[in-house]
Amino acid sequence: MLFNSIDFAVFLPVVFILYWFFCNKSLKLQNLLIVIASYLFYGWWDWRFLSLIIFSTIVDYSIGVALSTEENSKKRKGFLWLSIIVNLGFLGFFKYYNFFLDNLISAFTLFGTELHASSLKIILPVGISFYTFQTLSYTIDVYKRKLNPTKDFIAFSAFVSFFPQLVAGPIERATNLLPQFYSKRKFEYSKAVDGLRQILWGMFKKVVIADNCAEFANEFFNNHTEYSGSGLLLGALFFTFQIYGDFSGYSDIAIGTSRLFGFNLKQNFAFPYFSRDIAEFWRRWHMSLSTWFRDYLYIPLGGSKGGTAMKVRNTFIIFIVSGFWHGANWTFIVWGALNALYFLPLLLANKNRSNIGTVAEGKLTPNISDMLKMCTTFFLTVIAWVFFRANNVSHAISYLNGIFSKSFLSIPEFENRTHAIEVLVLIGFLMFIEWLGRDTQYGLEKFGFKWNKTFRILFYLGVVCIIFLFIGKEQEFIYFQF
Amino acid sequence: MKTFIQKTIIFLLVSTFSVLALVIFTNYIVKQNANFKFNEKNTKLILGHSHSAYALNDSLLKNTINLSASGESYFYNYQKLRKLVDNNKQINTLFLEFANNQIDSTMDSWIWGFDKMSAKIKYYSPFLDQEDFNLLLDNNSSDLFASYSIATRKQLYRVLGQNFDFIRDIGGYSYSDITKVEDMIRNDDFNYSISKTLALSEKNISYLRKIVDFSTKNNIKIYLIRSPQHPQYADLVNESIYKNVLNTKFKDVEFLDFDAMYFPNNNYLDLHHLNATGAKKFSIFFNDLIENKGLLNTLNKQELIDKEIKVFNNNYLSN
Repeated sequence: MLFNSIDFAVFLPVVFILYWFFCNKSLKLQNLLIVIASYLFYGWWDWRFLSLIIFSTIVDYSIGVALSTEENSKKRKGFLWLSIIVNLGFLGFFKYYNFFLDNLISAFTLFGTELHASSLKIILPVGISFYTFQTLSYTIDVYKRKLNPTKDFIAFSAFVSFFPQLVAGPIERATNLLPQFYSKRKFEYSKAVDGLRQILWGMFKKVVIADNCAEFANEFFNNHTEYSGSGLLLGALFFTFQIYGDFSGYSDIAIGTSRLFGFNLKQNFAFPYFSRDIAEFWRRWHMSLSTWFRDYLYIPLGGSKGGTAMKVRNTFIIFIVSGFWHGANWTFIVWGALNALYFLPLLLANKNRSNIGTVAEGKLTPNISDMLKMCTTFFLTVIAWVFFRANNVSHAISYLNGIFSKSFLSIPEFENRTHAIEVLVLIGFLMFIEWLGRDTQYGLEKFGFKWNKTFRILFYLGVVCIIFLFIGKEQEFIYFQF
Repeated sequence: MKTFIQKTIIFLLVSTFSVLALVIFTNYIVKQNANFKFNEKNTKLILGHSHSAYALNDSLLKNTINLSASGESYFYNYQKLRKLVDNNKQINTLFLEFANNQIDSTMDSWIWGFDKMSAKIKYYSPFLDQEDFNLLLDNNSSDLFASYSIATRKQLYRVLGQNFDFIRDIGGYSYSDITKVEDMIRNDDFNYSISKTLALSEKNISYLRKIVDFSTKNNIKIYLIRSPQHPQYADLVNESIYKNVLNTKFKDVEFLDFDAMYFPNNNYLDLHHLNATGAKKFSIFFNDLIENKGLLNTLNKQELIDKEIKVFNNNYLSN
């Protein structure tokens, strides 16, 4: 079920009413309703893959229970590995089987040996990369005794399948989300209103920004040989805002929806396009994934504590694995490696934590130095996104060659330029609101709070009208494919 | 909780009302002010999709205006015609493109598929009848919503810019000086635009009937025409079905077939369309038939057309 669909517009109020009016007397009932609603939400797409979630839930719940009583360290490690193998096994099969097979065949062919094997027609279950990482975090934290294993199967099932963030995150840590299922939620007016406001902003980002940018990004990327360098740069720029609007919009809707049910999810995007260097960008982009890799991969590998060689190795590992997490394609690996290259000079100069706070805090505009840093970081990000969007590495290289050609400074020629200008104006509106709200959880959180309430509501109505006026063809969220 | 639900419902109602008000207001203003008027000298009108849009250069045709538009099915031709006739009482002749793909079931997507619906409804949303609106609603309600969003934006710009002139937007002769035919043949790119099953689009055909009846009712003489198509045009595979539809459902309408005209490959844009060079030749030929050879007053029109095509083709071959 898509957030931006009529189905969800019916589903959400029905679950909300049942949750607060019929299940509010009992914690078990509240959690059970969440499990049922979540399975319905997921099964709407393909009910067959519900079995994967249920199996993963049973395995990790059982391993958690086993870890709670087992003191033998070898056996505890065995349980941990069982969880890792089951979860990553599913992920590996559904997401990476064909990639590894094709590359193995290519590698053998390169050395003159013909390997006969054929790819399987595998459907990638929606959200598998997200809920797999979420359940893994539970087992690892229980293993490390950072979290007490749960004995409440319903609460654990609700944690694994919680519908607002099931298919595209944020990837919640068990330490944050699971305890919220242990206590009965009480309705909080301000929290629910805030949730609706965040949903509205998420819808704006998805429906207005991402879907309209997609129209142009697809055109430029699919027919890149027909466009000038300036046109291709514009295409990359549209994709830059498409991916941001799509993914951060989804996160906003997920977080806002959770708040309607009394849950607090962690912020997933903290205005990444205002970052002053790549390290800051990665602290602000898809934060739930970045911190997952930091805590469960980078730090166990030694982090930045070892010598230079180890730092470099760990940096490349985390960025490449992070890229590969997004999809079974060399483009994602190159995208990850490119970001590692961007990050490395900062790490080696020990400047990777020099931009921690909010840019131009307390000021309306940034100073020239910050402005230049933001522009440079943004430009580097735009270039990296070309690899992320391209069909394959040669497509990306050809696209980049096209950008940096003689026609780089020409006026871009393409169809539907009036609409492109409209979309650029809307991007400007998005960035304006986000800039003003950059020290909050999401752009609209505090916007207009100093205004008369009537004006603020009129502003929200204006946003609704903009959403209606710029709604495009219903499109899936990009991150569903991850 | 009650306050939250009450306020949320009020906000949703006000939002829905605001959006509806925006749609109704803009459509109403545009409907009241829409101008479809063209030069009064033009008594002949050409409508159709891209075939006629590329084939007939109306600057070479006497007292004729070509308002064909790419990707336009009879459903939208009908909406256009009603407004044009309403605003231009001098119209006495309508040439309507009748190509092989226009009877095919792919036309259904040209009526209510998102791409075509969203591209066309922005011109005709203020003028749709309840029946026409219901047809779109019944067949693709979700995309109709998205299409109305695009249409309302367009109407809003019209209102804000006080620009209610539709003639420049709704069609016209399409100029193209390129040719892709040799490349297409070399690459086996025959670009079918009809369904594999060759099933009919009952809806599009029913709107063709509506156009015929509307024209007759308004004393407009209607002719179905088939512009020249490349001999390797893939959609010719439905020729027998096409002829059957013509002879059974539209035997009351005169048909002017120019499919047998011969043009070299570089006179075509692609296998479907003529380019500017081909259009010039065809337009001069067409104009000559009407203005000098008395085509429209001849009893057996196709006989005259075939005779003139033979001369045209022989001239080309002898050159």
